[in-house]
Amino acid sequence: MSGGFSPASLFAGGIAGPALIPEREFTFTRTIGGVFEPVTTTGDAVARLTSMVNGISAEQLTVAKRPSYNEGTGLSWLAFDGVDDAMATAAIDFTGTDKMSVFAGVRKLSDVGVKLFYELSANSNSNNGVFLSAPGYLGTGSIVGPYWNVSAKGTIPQGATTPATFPAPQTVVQTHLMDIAGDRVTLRINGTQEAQKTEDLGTGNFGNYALNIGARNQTSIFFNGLFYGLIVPGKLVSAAEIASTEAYMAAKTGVVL
Amino acid sequence: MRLAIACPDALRDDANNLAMVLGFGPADALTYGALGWQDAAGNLYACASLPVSATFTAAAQAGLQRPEWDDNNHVNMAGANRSQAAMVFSLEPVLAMPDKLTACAGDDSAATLAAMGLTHVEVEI
Repeated sequence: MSGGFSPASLFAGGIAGPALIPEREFTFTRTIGGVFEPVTTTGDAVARLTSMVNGISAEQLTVAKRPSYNEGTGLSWLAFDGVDDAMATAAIDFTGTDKMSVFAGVRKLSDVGVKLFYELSANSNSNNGVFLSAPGYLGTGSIVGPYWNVSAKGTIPQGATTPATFPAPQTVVQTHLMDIAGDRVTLRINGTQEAQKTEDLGTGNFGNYALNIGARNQTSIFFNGLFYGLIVPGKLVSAAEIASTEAYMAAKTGVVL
Repeated sequence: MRLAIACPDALRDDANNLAMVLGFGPADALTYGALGWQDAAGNLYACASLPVSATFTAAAQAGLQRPEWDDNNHVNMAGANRSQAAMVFSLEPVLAMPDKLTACAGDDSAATLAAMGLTHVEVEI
């Protein structure tokens, strides 16, 4: 149970980052005149998803690239088609921290082809202070399969991949914890730590970049799956906050922890 | 109805002009981007997928008008018309063609593109 927990509490004291939950009050389509209007029904193309905190929005202005809003059985989500759907925020200034937490409610529909669920910056290969999530990716070459994968990079990238026991289609609560100075990348799935990498992440803090959702820089490696939420406080959260946020995200995805 | 559209490299510029005419504004010039798909012969395609209204296919095949927002001649109407002339619509998947803008209906666009004979160009993260 998420009780009275609000993701906004993770950002108290000026912590940077978005809390993107695709419910009607935060989710907007766009008219031909350029006006953003709240979504009203399943299937509406989503042009803007506003964060619950920090005045951040993820947007997609190209009509064909918009994910669709869906709701049912008390849940709401965005469907990314694996062909061209993607969203991105404006640059988020994470330069004050080398620690990061990302909570995601996500369903992967396929383990065929490499896909990006989220990535900080246009391309984490060419930028420092970044992170990404690549559902189904083994973490090397172009090998995909029954995995969940995340990575982080100060100046050296390190990934954490689950065992090969998570085949698509699958809905999970994914928690991605990063500490550059502490050389630690942790991946939790449905409340259980499934992978951790403790090798050198290099140096520095996270960067001031756009957060891309559903693709690399809105142009490639498109995600085929469902998005139930993404909460990204620019800090390492406490154990109690992990428990509360995972419970919150479980309620948003229908996952039972 | 959802359409999956395969655009060969040679038609990308023209197809993006058509997308601006049929879409909402200049941002639709980014509809066909990276060449992330290929056919069995190795021809490369940029693909798009979107839900469309019941009247979309008729509108897309009717005479094109410069959009009202385009008071700057931003859209290359000749290119849009070339792209329209190269369009193929089908309610069933047909093989993508390297000289056509092939649009096929299907609820699952990734599956529709596969049925159109297209596979992802392999990439590394």
